[in-house]
Parts: sequence; structure tokens; C-alpha cells
Amino acid sequence: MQILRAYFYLMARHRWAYALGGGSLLLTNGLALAIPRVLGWAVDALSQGTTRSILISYGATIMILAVVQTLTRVGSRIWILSISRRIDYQLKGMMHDHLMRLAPSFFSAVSTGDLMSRMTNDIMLVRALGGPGVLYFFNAVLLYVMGLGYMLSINWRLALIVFVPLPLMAWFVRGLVQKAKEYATGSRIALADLNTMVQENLNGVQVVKSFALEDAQCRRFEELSEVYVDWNLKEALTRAKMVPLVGLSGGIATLAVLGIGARMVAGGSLTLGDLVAFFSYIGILVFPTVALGWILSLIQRGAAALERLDAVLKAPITISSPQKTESSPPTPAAVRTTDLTVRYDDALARYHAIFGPTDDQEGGRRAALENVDFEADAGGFVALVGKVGSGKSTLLKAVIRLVEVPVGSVFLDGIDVTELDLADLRRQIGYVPQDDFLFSSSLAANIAYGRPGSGAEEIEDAAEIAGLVSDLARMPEGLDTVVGERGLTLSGGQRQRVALARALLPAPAIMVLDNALSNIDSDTERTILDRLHSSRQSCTLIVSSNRISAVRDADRIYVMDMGRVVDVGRHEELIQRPGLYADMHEQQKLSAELERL
Amino acid sequence: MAARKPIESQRDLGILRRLVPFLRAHIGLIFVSALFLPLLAGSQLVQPYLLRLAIDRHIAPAAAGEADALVGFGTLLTYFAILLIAELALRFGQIYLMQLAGQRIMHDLRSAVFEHIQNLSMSFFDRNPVGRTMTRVTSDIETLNDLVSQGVVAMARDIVTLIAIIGVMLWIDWRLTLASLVIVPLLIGILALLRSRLRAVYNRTRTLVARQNAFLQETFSGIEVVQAFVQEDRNRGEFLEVREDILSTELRAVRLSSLLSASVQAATTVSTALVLVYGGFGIIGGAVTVGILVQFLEYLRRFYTPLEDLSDKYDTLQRAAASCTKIFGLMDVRPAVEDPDSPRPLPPFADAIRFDNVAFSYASTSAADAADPESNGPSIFDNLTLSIRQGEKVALVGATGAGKSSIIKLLLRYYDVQEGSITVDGIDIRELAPRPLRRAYGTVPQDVFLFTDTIAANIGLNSSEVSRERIEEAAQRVEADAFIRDLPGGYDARLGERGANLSFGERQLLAFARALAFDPPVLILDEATSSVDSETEARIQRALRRLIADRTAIIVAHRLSTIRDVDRIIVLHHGEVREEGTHKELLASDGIYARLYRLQHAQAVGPA
Repeated sequence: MQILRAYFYLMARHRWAYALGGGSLLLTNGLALAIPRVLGWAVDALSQGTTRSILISYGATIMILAVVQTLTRVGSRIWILSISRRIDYQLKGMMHDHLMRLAPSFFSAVSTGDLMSRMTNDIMLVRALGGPGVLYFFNAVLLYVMGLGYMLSINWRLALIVFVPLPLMAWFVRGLVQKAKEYATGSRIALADLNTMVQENLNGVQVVKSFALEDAQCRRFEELSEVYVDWNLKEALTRAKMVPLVGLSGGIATLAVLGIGARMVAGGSLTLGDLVAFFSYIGILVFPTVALGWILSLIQRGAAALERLDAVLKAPITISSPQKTESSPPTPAAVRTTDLTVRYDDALARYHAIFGPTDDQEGGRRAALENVDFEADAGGFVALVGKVGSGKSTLLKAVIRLVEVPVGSVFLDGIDVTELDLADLRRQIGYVPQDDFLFSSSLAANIAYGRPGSGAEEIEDAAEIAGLVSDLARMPEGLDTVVGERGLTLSGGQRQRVALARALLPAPAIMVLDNALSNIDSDTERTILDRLHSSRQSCTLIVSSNRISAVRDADRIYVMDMGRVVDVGRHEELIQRPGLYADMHEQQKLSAELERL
Repeated sequence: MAARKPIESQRDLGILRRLVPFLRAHIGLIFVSALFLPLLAGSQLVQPYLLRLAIDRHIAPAAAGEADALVGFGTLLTYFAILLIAELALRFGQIYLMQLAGQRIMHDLRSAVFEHIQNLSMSFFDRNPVGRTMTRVTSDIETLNDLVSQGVVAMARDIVTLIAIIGVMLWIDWRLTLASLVIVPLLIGILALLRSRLRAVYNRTRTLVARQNAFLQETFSGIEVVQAFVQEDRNRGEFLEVREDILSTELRAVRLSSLLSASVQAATTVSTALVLVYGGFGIIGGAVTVGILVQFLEYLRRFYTPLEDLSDKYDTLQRAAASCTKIFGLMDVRPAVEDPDSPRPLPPFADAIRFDNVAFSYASTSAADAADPESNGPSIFDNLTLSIRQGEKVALVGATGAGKSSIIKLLLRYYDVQEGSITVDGIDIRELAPRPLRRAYGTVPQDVFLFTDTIAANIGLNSSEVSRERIEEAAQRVEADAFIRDLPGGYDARLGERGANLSFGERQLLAFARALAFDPPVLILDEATSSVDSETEARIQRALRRLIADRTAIIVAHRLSTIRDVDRIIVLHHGEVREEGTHKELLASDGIYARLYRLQHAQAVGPA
């Protein structure tokens, strides 16, 4: 398991702290276990008659032991738990680092919720494993071993009696812990189902209200809640059973010690003080026994969490810079694909192998690309049109290598993109994705995202070209307006324009727009595209759209269907030929007019 | 508008009182479980007493060499064993009963919160992000779940135990008791101090972790953007900062919590020493027996654990109070659109739907107005009057913001008008119960929402009113049947999150089928603005025609073909009716519509 290696490596870096922690733990337990012994001696002294000063010295000894033991205990806890926090910190960094290198296909195959769960819950479980888990485990082991040692030193027969019920109880506890774990899993799944239902209910509030489904939803919710309660109760019952079990072993030990110990005292082979010491030891050993079940489950859950983290670290990095990179052309601008074929299934199969079946069900029906020949000349304007699912987005992503492309398929000024440094390639291309994703920060920060140090002038410039000026004028804080999570408080059209401004601010050589202006009326869209073209004349523009009005001025229009190019030409030629393009043209005439109202 | 005073401080433990009604429902269970407590406390007390007897009557004399010291010892042991078994059984019963009560209480609370949310009006959902509401129903209640089922039990048990132990100790020897407990005030003081510091640290950790999670969530959702703009390193740097903050806070928490748990341990041992010395003096002086000493040591052992537990529980109570504050804050929100007290029966939609002098604006959703729940945004309608007769098919046409979607929302009574009225068959819709009213409209919104459920469930919405036959029939009528049967599983195929694996056109057809399956008297359609390829377009148009055929239809239109199919067109502009009439009338009146039509006509015949 890769994760174990990583984890042990991290642990090894803290070996001195572990040593210190372990050492103080040893000392702590040694001292703590010595106290009952001293107590026993004191009791013996008392029953045989002693002086006050001797008594005080016993008392003082115990006090000192207590104080020192407290200090070492605090130290051991701080050392060991701090390590687990530091490892947590490093592990999160490692995971994040790896995730940054993975292709976007990974993030659509594995849901964000799943990833978040791994980065939060699973890391927390691993931390519990390496911190409290380790601490309490070794504490328990030390207590048992040293406790046994002390008791054996007093009277080996009695010591064995105390220890005999233990393996038995441990065996029973183990069975219960197993059961409890199963129920905990069931409970977790039931909770996830409940949460999903609530999320859908909230996201689909329009449907719920317009079809008056409230009562039905309440009933469904209660059903799911009952299932969850059932699992919880099963788990609770199992854990409740552990209590008497553990208590029984302690109780049997106490009874045995009382009964047999009394006889031994009568027979003279044991003193009263020894017996009292034994009771104290039983008391001290209760906690680790009780904690045993909990520690075991902690270890189990931590191990499962480690596996889940491992799955992420094992996800292959499919898009990266080559070892030896070609230098990119100074101002590249011509893009070409030759016989480009892209399939999503391979990537998905890889992820399925590691993660099990993922949530992503689009795989089977998602557009691949097949034998696509595409060309955009330097400074030119090329468009892609086609139905949803025809492969337009995939083609655009291939240009910027956001999907895996085979060697020898995509070229930038004649150089294979797989031989270029990835960062260089991407910096040359301004990409506006179909999903108008914005970060929750200010508009200025969003627009300047590609070039963080940008000045106000550059930002305003980009905003102007993207047609944001009038919108900004209506916002009291203008460019400093903070946009909510996923850019929620802006309208669809505004978000798209911000995404456009973001892409054009670094003045890239190539601009790729994936249905980027669909929420903007066609007149404004034309204006923006014109402005874009005229202000960045040397820039190559590749646009995918469903609107004829947006693409009619393109040098070349590619019509796509089912991952293939079915027609190419200029607007004037294409509307003469019967087919997809001509149909769309016909259809869209009035929509544009309506918007003008 | 809250019916109660707004909940002030999250620290206020009084909020926990709101849980009482939920507890009352299960009072039987709680009562029985509570009965166990004094019994348990009792057994905690008796065991050390038996131990003392064992020592004083049997073992000490045996050590001193007396002959029949162990006579009767066997009986004592038997009592001990019985007591042990009884205690264990009681502990088991009490834990389980309290868990049972706790789970049931949480179930009731959870269901109540969910039901309350269902009754809230659309304006609530406009203002509150899904994530936040979800937290209320899920994690806030979960937190409460853990705390109630474990915390309350333990607290009650601890308090009873402590009182019992102190009581008995005082009764046996009050001086020895004082010696045992002299250190307790000091301990409580230290605990209080450390706990309040720890609480602050935990709060900070929680805030930082929320920040971390929001950051990760954004990063994963927007990974394409991060990578396309080559900002991976920057992202790493930002994450590093967050991680470092979390680490330093957590290290502080480790230090404080270690001190805390060590204090209790220390206190126990120091008390032991004190009891030994003081009790020992008593033994030397002959006032105290060894048995009593051992008994006291046993009581001490059983004293500090519940004490530490209790101080722990204060924290627990605080967290419970915080969760309760949020949960009951939600419960206090009143729906903006209220059900009438005695609703009139739903009219048959036989006559007309009318808007009379309607003035309306949405409640403001801007952050600046968040403090005042009554503030309104810009006015949508100032004085709108229009009517739709039974069986009529009407198209609403106009630019974005003209008020078309608002008309639909008002018809569905998602919001109430500020002035004027909306009537159906002459009855003001505010006098009708909202749910039956809404069911009378078959609604197809702009963005089709699909559930992660089967196709059949998405069409019939798991309603008992809609049979499987109706579902398939509806699907056939809108030409969705073909593609549904093509899917693996057909009508029982499960859809992905948000209907992820269907194309836009397919989702539209499903939405039509859904509306059709319920066979409503009125159809409301808010046409999607996204442009699609013409084949899909044609299918949608055909389906639409079938959909509106036998009923009143109100369509927010964006397509020429849609407008061609209706009886009357209403042209809206800035919240006013600019023109209305049939296609012929509007052409003749030579207004906006006429211009549109001619433009389209000209484009069709002339060269591109």
C-alpha cells in the first residue's frame, strides 16, 4: 500500500518525538503502577502498628510519585498527539499536491462529495489512528505488561487469577466490536441516503412545490430516518453489551482476589497490604480494558481510511509535461489536430479499478472524438457547431490538454502538444469553459486569476472587452464586489462575461470559448466577439456555439455530430447545403429578434 | 418575522429548554431509565462497604492470626457476586434505554425540522443556500444526536453518583471526607480555566476547518479552471497557509487538553495520599479501622471519574446549545406565504384566471438588505391587468426582466402580490390552500430538475395518483417513450445526479411527460432559452403541441413555432402589457410584434 509507505515515512520523520513520548509513557506508567505498591506497604505498616512520621513519609512518597507522574503523562500526551497533528498536516499536503496533478476526468469520475469525505473524514480517522490510537494502545499495553509485572512480584498465583479472565473477555469483545463495526457502516450508509434525499429535496424545491409533493417527501424522509434509527440502535445495543462483559471480567477478578487472597492472608503467604495493592491494580487496569474495544475500532476504522486515501494516491497522473520538453514557439497561434481520437472509457476504467464503480454514469454515453481533423490558422476565427454531446467541448479541451490526447494528434504551430511543457502550453491559451465557474472572491480577483499581480488598468481593460462595463457601473462596489460560492449572486450572463474577461486578461495567443456566451443575448454576443476580434487581432479565436449569429463570420465552421466532423465550410456555403447547419440557422432567426425586445 | 424573540447568544444554555417538548413524548422511557440511576449509584456505594466488612471482619483478623476469621466469608462473597451481576445488568439496561429514548427524540426532531422546511415559502429558498439549510437538517442534528444520547445519560448518572458518594462518605466520617475532598475546589477551578481556553481553541479550529473545507470544495469543483490557468502552485500555497493555521491551533488544543486530563489524574492521586496520611493518623489513634480506610480509598476512586466526566459535559452542553440555537433559529422562521385558516375549495378553472391591478416586487436578496427581512427589491409590476380564459393558449413574450417568469411564480402563489389580486374563477387565490392550487397547474420550468431515481419516478414523482400506465402513456404522447426504452432498464433506469446522463432534449421531454401524467387543467411552461439543434427542436415542438392540446396553457415563449401555435400573444415590456391579441390582430396593429414577424419573414425569403 502506497499510503502505508507514505505514512511510515512521515512517522519516521518524527522518530525522536515518538521516542520521547514513548519513554515518558513508560515512565508515567511505571510510576503510576508503583503507587499501589507503596499504598500496600503503608497499609501493612498501619495494620502492624507504625509511627506518624513513617506514615507521613509514605504519604509524601505517593505525592511525589503523583506529581512526577503527572508531568511525564502530560509530556507523553503532548509529544505523541502533536506528532499526529503534524502528520495530518503533511498528509493533507501530500494528498492535495497529488490531486492537483490529476486530469479533470478524475474529478468528474469521482464526485466532489467523495473526495471531500476522504480529505476530511478519512484523514481525521487516520489521525485518530496515529495519535490517540497509538497513544492509548501503547498505554494499554504498557499498563498490562507492567501491571502484570508488579502483581507477579507480589504474588504470582494471584496475579494469574487477575489475568486469566482477560483473554476470554478480549475474545468476546472482539466479536462485539466486529458486529458494531458492521452496524456502524450500515448506519453511515443510511445517513448518506438521508442526506442525499434532503439535498435533492432542497435543490428540487421548485418541483416539490409546483407538484405539491411536500407531504410525500415528509413521509419518505421519515422512512429513511427510521432506517437510520434502526441501525443506530443495533449499534448501540452491541456497544451496550460490551459494558457488562468488561465489567464482568473486572468483577470476577475482584471476587477471585478477595476469596483466594483472603485465604492466603489467613495462611500467612500474603499480607493485607498486598491485597489492598491488588485491588488498586484491578482498578487501574479497568480503563485500558474498557478502552480496548474502542481502541480496536479506532484501529479498524483508521486502517479502512488509510485504504481510501491510498486509492487517491494511486490515481494515475495521465496529463503531464514530458521529460524533455520542446521549446514552445514564441507567439504560437496555429492549432491543428490530425486524426484525433479521444475516448473517455479508458480513463474511467482505470478509476473504476481503483475506486470501484464510481458515480459517474456518463461514461458509456459521453462523446468521444473520432478521427477529427481540425485546423485554425494563426490569427484566424474558427467555429464549432453541433448538438449537445457532439464532441465540441472535448475537442476544445484537447487543444489545451485538459483531456488526455494521444501522441501525434494535436499540434501547436506544428509542434506536438504532448512534447511541450504543459504550463507553457496552457499559458498560451485563454480558455473559457462551458461551466462558468468562478471563485468566491472579488470580481477583480476572478478576472486576474490567470495573472495574479495584474494592475487595475489591465483588469478594467479585460472587463471592458468582455462587455462588463455597464454591469459594473450598477454594482456599488464595482470590481471589488465579492462573488459568492460558485459565483452565485451574479446572473448567468454576468458570470460568463467574467469568465471571458478572466481568459483574455493575460492576452493569450489563442482564445478557446466553449459555448461561453450562451446566456447572453445574441446581439451582445456579436458585439463582444467583434470587440474581441478587433482588439486582439493576432489572437486565434476558436469558438464553439449553438448560435448561428455568433459563428457566421468565422473563417471556417466545423459542424460536428457524434464525435465526428460532418461538414466544414463558411457560413454562406453551409446554409446552402441541407443539413444540421441549415436547420439551426432557420430555427434561430426569431429567437434573436425576441431578445431584442 | 419571528414569532419569538430572536435567539441571542449561542452560549445561552436556555435554548436547551426548547428540546423539552420532544423529550415529553418519550417520558416513559426516560423515566424508567432514570429509575435505574439511584439503583446504580446505590450499588456503587455498597461494594466498598462490603469490601470494608471483608477486611475488618475477616481479612484483618486473619492476618492477625485469629482462628475463625474466615467463617461466614463465603456468604459475603456471594453477596458481592450478586451485587456485581445486578450492577452490570442495570448498567446495560440503563445505557440501552437512554439510547433508545435519545434516538427516538432525534428522529422526532429531525422530522419536525424537515416538515417545517417543506412548509416554508420560496423566498426562504431564494435567500438561503442549499448547503446551509442542509447543515441544519443533517450535521446540526447529528451533533445533537451524539450529545443527547451520550451526554445526558452520563451527566445524570454522574450527578447522582457524586451526590450519593459524598453523602455516604460524610455519614461515615466527616473529617476523613474533608481530607479526601479538600483538593476538589482547586481542581474545579483549574478545570474551569482550562476548559474555557480549550473551548475558544476548539471554536477557532472549527472555523478554520470550515474555511479549509470550503477551499477544497471550490478547488475540486473548479479544477479545470485551476489547471487551465496554471494556478496549481498558487492553490498549493493557499492550502499551505490554511493548513498551517489549523496546525498551530490544534497544537495549542493538544497542550491544553493534555493538561486537563492530567489534572484530574493528579488530583486523584494527591487525594489518595492525603487520605492515607489523615486516615492513617486515625488508625494509629484507634479511631479508624483499616477497613474504613480502604473503603474511603475505593470511594475516592469512584469519585474523580464522574467529576471529570461532568466537567467534560459542560462542554458538551455548550455544543448542544450551539446546535440547538441554529436548529431552532430555523424552526422560528415563518413562511411568507401563509395558508389561509379556512381555505375555500379549489374552483374547477372553468372560467378565467385574472390579474387585477397587480403590484409586485421580490423581497430583496442583496447582502446589503439582509438585515431587514421586509425590504424589497426593484418593482416587477406596478399595475398589471390581464386575463386568461379557460381553454385558451396564451404566449407571454418579452425581453429578460419583463416579468414573464414572475407571472408564473405569482400564479403558483410562490409569492403574494403587494397590491391588487389574482383570481381564479373569481376567487382570490389567497383564499385557497396553496398546495391544491399548485397541483392544478402542470409546470414545466426553464431548468428541468430530475431526481436520482428511476425514469418512471421522475415522471410520476412517486405519486399514488399516477399509475404506471399513465406514466408510459404520457411518455408516449410526448415521444419520449422511444429513448426511454433504449436506456438500459428502460423506465426503471436510474438517473445520475441531477439527471446527468440525459441530453438536454431528453430532459425536456421528460419534463413534458411529467406535466402530462398529472393531467392538470392548466399547463404552465417556461421555455428554456438555450438554443438546441433543429432535430431536437422539432421533437420538442411536437411534444409541446400535444401537451397543450386539451387544456389551458400559459407559455413563456422564446420560439417562433411556439408563438404560432397559440391563440393569443401577450407582449410584456418592463412589467407592462404592451400589446396583446391574436397573431392577425397584432400584425394589423403594426407594433412590436408586427415588426418581429416581418423581420423573421424577410429573413426567411431573402438571401442570408
